[in-house]
Amino acid sequence: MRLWMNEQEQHTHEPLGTAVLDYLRDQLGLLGTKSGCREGDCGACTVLVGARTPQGVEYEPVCACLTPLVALENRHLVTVEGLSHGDLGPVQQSILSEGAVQCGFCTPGIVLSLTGYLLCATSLTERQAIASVAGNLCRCTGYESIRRAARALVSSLPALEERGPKRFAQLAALGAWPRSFLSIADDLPLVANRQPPARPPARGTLVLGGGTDLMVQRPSAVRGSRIVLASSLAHSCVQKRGDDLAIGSASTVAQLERSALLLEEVPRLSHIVSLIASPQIRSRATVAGNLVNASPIGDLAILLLALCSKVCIESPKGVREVDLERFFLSYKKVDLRPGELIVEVLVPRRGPRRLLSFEKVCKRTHLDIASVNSACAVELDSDRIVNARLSAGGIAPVPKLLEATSQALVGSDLHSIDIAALTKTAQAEISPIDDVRGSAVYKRLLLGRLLLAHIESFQKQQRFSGGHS
Amino acid sequence: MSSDERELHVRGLSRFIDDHCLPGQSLYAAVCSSKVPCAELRSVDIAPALALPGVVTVLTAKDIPGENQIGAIVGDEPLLATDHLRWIGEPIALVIGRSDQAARAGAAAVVVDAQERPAVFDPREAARLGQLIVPIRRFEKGDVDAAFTRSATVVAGRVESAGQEHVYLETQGAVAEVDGNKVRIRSATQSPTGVQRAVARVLGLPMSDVEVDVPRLGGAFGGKEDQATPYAALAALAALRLRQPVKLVLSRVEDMRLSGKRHPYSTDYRLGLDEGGRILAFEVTYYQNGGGAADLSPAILDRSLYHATAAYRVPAARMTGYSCRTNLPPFTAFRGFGAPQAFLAFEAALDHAAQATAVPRHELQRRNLVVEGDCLPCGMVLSGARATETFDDARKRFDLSKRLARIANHNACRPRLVQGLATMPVCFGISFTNKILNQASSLVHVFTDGSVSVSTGAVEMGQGVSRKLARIAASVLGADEALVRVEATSTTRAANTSPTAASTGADLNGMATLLAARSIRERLDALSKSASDAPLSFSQAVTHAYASRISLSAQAHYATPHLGIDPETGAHRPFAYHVYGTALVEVELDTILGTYRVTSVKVVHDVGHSLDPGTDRGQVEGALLQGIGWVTCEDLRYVEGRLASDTLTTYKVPDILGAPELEVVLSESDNDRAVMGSKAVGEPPFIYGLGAFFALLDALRAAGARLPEGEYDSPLTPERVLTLLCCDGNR
Repeated sequence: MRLWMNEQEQHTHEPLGTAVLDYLRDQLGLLGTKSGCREGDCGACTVLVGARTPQGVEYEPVCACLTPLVALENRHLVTVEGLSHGDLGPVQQSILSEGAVQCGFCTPGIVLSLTGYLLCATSLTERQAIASVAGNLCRCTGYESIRRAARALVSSLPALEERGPKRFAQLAALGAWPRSFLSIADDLPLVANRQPPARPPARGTLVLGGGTDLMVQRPSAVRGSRIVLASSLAHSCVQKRGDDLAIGSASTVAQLERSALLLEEVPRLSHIVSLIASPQIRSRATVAGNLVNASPIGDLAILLLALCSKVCIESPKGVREVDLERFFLSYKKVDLRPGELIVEVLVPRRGPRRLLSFEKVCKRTHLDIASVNSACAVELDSDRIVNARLSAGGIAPVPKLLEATSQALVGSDLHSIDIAALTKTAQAEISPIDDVRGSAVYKRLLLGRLLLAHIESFQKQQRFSGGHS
Repeated sequence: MSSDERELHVRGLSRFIDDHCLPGQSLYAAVCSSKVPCAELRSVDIAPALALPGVVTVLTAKDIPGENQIGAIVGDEPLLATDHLRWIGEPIALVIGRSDQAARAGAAAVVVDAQERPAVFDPREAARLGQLIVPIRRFEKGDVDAAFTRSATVVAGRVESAGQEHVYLETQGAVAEVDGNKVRIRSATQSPTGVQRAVARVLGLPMSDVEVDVPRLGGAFGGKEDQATPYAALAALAALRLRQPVKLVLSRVEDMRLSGKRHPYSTDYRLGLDEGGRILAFEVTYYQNGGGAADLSPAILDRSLYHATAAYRVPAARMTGYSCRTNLPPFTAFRGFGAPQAFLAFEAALDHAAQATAVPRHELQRRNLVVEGDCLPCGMVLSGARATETFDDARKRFDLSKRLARIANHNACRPRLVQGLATMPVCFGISFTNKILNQASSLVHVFTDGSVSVSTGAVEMGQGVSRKLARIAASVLGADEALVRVEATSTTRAANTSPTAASTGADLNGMATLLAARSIRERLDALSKSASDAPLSFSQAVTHAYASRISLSAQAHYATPHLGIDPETGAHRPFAYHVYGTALVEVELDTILGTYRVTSVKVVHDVGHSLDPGTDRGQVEGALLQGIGWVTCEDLRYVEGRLASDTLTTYKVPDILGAPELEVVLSESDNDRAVMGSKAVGEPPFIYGLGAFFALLDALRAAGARLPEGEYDSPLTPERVLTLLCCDGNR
């Protein structure tokens, strides 16, 4: 397998499921990338991965602990060592000058996240610069100095050139990007996304989406398997298909976030995405991975359930479509047989006719797994709800469509909903358990409050759109 | 090459324990630990582990050549269990493999036969059963019962405060090797001498045969004061047995399951006030959950007792502490060292009194703050008290009354998001409460080119102690600060060191460095005077001194003066001085969902004459966010003695998006009790974070919640908040 490792082209015969973190530290002796948690939560092992796509070369931050080597094929891997030749760059300078480094263990990851931000930002803003390090935990600084560093960085740089070669050259001139990387970007071969039709997986292979869950749960199994990446079997774009949006099953959360088509259906897309996962995880986690994982609290599953999605499954025998709520069979069991592959998720397009509310409640607002999450989509005729889909996670063994409660909403006036009756209906549909994310009693209580929050959100959305006088 | 650590960090060049001894260069060790909280250990079968590929050997208690004991205060902690198992995670055997995977597979394969016994997890139950780590600690000032009788208002209640996981980003670890006839250990410890002493004891060697080297720590916060010792001792045991380098680094999950955390406390309080809202009497009983071995629990309980009255003047007080032995992993030091639990309990009592008397909490606080000349319950008379000064400064500077009016206005129209505010004053005693530890030494070398080397017992863990030491040495010597190198901490260069803890790292080691540098400077000055009329530059003086065969090295020792019992007055003085300050903490509560945000924290913090304002600011900011985490999102949970929140997915520390805007004003003052007029800064600001707890109570009340009287449970997770919001069915 070939990759570019900082300034050098490299070939490796390591097992393709090896975590990039182990490859860097154990094989190459590059020790600047730190191992903090091995589950993508701390960001100490953040590295950048560059790929040439038809749109040009793009760099994304990923957690080296959750990224299998195979995902680097024909790509450019950038670590802190690659950014540290010669004088300090503006990212490192701003971190130093604002005292945004104490014990130093998280620092290389932060350097990489901010550098990644400079490479792919649409424009420089303090808020986005700070959001770019959302996936980097620091236990020493209280983050205030890191915020100061992000601000100092943004204010020290001129307006950015458009993304791509001009941006890379500009950042190289500013000392934020090594010149030697410019020619690597030029040399990178095209990593073509799979176009339809999909290709079924070969027998005995492990299909890996992003690996953000499998690399945590079963790293040695991944390492020892013959791996095929979902992106080589299924596509990863969001397309119009008749009345539906067809979301390629290999789409990453970051790709969803950038989709203008999906934004029409989910107006608060980027806010929701910022709640769900860090930039590093968004770059890797895929739609199909999130569904196949079948976590009862999966955020994307909850969102897609409310959007009335179907799963499109292919095998050598043909194609079948399954309503998403029928796809989840029982705890961690899904309707997917050996040799089958999820190729697309179909979301009916409703545009502004559909109001959508997504809420998750966790101990920490961002980047935490919810106690209960819930999405609700309604269509209104004036104030009357004519169509409703309410989903919730953390309250049953599977991500659940609350069918009876959804039905109960239909026909109600948005401004005179009997919340108590609705909550009672919902309580009969759920079966939460006590766990580390909350007691069953709490989860029941919370679901009722989430219903209330959805209704409030719809009323507010209606006011803003001028639909209600 | 920069002598600044921070430049290494941003370049990814700083090496931590895990960056030493890569595959092929060492063997790996993994710990097989108890799966049950309380049991008789019948047998340990290592054969299944030995049969696995890559497993080199398995060591158990009988392989320990010296004494199987690492307890520093109480000798109750064997390195490897012998006949009893007392908590889930207690080490039983050490498996050494050619790779970390092989070692871990071996650890999982060891078969432990144990007969389970009933376990105790609740400290009050342990106290009832008489399971105490040390005898009850109690002290009293004034006629407490009479003062309660005189009180117009008496409130009583209970405070539960949960533990807290350190989440230092670098996990526990050590690498050990035997070099000729010396055992060398690189350990991620705050206590190099503690590790050296324990390793010598376990291996049956004199301390001079053991060298402990600590290059730097990737965060510690107290978690590596005592708890780094077992891993260093285990790695050393294996290295001595096998005569090969052995590396033992815990994974995050292992670290969270095995290592100690901040102590959970269950506390009863009673507070009496007169008609004017002045405190007359306070009584408190702490049930400290110590876990299965003493670790540092007795010392931590002492600090709770010394800080029982928080930042307030209390004429009569009775303090009682139970250090309770339970079947949880031994709890340990964590920034604040027992003081946060005491502050939370006292502030809760004061909150209760504010409710009972309908006097705003900040008013009650202000009326009762300690002032110059006050005598604390322990007998220490305060000098240089700045509690009222910093409180008033914060109140004015941040316009408390305007803020309160704005919040009241906002909340008056019953919005979905209600706001709350709390003021949080601090008065924190500086010194180890164990008097012996208040000493340090420093070894300073000046090289002939004018560059300088400083060696002390201070461990650099991000708190910036190296920078402070460099600054002190440079300023005393008249040397260029950029040419002062503060060395990694080594037991060979600095002997009999105290742990870098109790916020004293810069105070103690800085003063020793100042004394050592001063004696060199005095030699240079004497030489300059005799040599010429024109003053010599530092490097000229150094050259001249070397040519004159004058020593350019000095070692000095410092012991904090005036501590302990005054032989004349009999007054007890546990601390050199106190650190003061006040924070305003604001929150915003979603009354539908029970979620919340800490929106801003504004602080006036007393730094003396800061040795490095940037460093001190960073310490204040970092500590206070840890304090906020402790009382809000950090939810440490055990189920039948097993840690349920054992990953960073299930135990959430604050992140940048949730962290409030912080404004920290460093307030300077004179301090003749620490090096160059500075003040210690590591722990006191942690207390500011507790303001989030009371600001949330404020918001809950504004939302109409009728909170149960005299019951305070920390942390206020969204689950607790929603439960409190809904207990009256409001909204």
